[in-house]
Amino acid sequence: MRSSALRAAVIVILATAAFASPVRASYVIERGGRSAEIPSRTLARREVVDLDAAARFLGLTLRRDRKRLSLEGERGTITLQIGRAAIQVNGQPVLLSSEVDADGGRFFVPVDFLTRALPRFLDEEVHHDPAARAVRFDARAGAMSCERFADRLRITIAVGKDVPAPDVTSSGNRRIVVLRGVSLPETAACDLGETLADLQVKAGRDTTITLVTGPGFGGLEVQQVPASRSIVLDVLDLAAEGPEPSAQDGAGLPAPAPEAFDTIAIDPGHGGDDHGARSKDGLDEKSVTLGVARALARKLAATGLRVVLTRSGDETVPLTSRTELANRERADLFISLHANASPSPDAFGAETYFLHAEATDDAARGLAASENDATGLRARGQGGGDLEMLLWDMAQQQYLEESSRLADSVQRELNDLLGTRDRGVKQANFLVLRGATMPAILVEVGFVSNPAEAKRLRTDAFQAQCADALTRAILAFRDARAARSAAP
Amino acid sequence: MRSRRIALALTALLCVACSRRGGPPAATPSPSAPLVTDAPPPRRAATLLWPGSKAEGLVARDAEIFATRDPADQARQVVGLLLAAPPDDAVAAPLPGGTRLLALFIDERGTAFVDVSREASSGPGGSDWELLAVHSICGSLVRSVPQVRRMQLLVEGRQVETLSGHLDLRSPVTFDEGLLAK
Repeated sequence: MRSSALRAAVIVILATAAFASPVRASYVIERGGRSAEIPSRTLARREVVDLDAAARFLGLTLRRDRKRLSLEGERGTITLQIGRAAIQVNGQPVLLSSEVDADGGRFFVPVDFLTRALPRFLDEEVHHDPAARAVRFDARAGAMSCERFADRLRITIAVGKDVPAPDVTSSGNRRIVVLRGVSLPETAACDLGETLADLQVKAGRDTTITLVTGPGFGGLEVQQVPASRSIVLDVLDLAAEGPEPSAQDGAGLPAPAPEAFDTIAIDPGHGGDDHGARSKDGLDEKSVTLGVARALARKLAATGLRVVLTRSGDETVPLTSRTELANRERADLFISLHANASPSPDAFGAETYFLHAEATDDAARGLAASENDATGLRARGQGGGDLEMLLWDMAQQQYLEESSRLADSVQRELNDLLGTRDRGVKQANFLVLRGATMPAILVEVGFVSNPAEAKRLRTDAFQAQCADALTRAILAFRDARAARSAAP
Repeated sequence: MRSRRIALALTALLCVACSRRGGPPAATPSPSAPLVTDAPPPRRAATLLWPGSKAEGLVARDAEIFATRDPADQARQVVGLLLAAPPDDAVAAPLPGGTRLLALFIDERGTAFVDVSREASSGPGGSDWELLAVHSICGSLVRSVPQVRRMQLLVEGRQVETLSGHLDLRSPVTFDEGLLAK
């Protein structure tokens, strides 16, 4: 009896150990002729790899701010959060198969971080060999990339085959490189600094790259690198002790652009068939929002900002189309204007909303569920669409902090204008905010259900005052943001 | 609310009547073993969250529902009470008068699918109303029926984007405690 109990106990202990203790192993990463072993372990039947080791191999800096992790490098930033599977690669949402883990001061990510997130970040092709536990990254054939070094700007073109030596010619401040037999499908956005004034790429059967030299141009070196089947253009910086650039070289050069903030998307809520809330004496929310939006557009345009209106007349515009327009126009802010209503005629005052963080978490959970249920998605015949929608739903997540700041700025100004009690900044899962890839807020300028407020909201003068308050808030937000980026 | 209670009482009486019809004459029950079928379903406490009349947020009111076995039936009773008249003047009806509950079921993940008639979309509009309307139902269900964790609102059997142009109803709503009146 005792021995069988002992045997059972041993079996239980062994079984527990087999499942609970992490199995240590490694994954091999190869890139650019280098390779490294990235430690991995199996936790709860899923394999995770050491994020710190992967970051070191790729030359990325890993930073931690409470639960938020960021990997920073020349190609941008990957943002992760401990306990979440949704990450952002240069602002684009990517969903991993499991959450980011922290254990003993180290961070772990599922293996698909290497195979799904990194190729997107590095803009390279990935070759995954699960049996060999190896992941290799190769530059895409035809891809162009730029890297800034201490003394040069390096432009690398992965040609993926043997090609003749490039032709290089010079004409005034132009250096023209022709790559015979190379059709370059992708061009890169390069930070030209002062070395180049412009970089033009004309692709066809051959590819012609025109470099317009800048005041900091110190020469051009062109090499073929057979090992990686690539062509490297090294645009050298002018040595510090070198001669002053000629007037011709420096003519008409734009100053390095500060962080852009030039386009505001204004969304007059409702419209067309959807009149929105309606006051007892027939004032429609859709006309109040359009009136304030037009006044705001005029005032912002007068400050030099570009304004995009999601509707300029009494039109029916779907909610998702409004955000899509702002995204397409690369707006720096999205401001949805509304007027409130309540069953209580006593309710009054302005409110400013930004997206509830839970909405983005729900989207992540929904995406995880969808990815885990590929059969269900196929059965509905819209797998790609659903996934795409859920990914866009998470887009606002990375802007929540800035959206909150913008909401504060707007609410402060509206409180001053209305001189009423502060209804405050709030968060809600409003559909029109979900897909915005910029700081986004929804402003309720007042209650049409309150007779006194409805009377004011109807007038051009009050709509103009609202627009003034919003303009002040937007400019204050812009200035505060610029001050934050300028701070060391 | 009173009419709802009367309806429930009539249903209970009908059940009792049905159970007595047809079968062989019942033996005289012993005093220690009363006929369970004769007892009305036990009641239990529920918490209904109503929009406050002063737009101050959601205000809790105690209520009673029959402790029936099926959680979906309990959830139907909760929504039924919210669609009836509010208990006092300090709180308001979440959905416009005439809105009916068409169907309600709870899935294995704790999502209550609440299908209401088209009148639900004809409220006064405004984000305040919409937030309080949806979360009044969601919060009352979550607080009163332990099996409910979130709510998917449907109108006339269909998923809708929003009720009046604001709150995203394309996916289940999780109750937002921040909407409770301070």
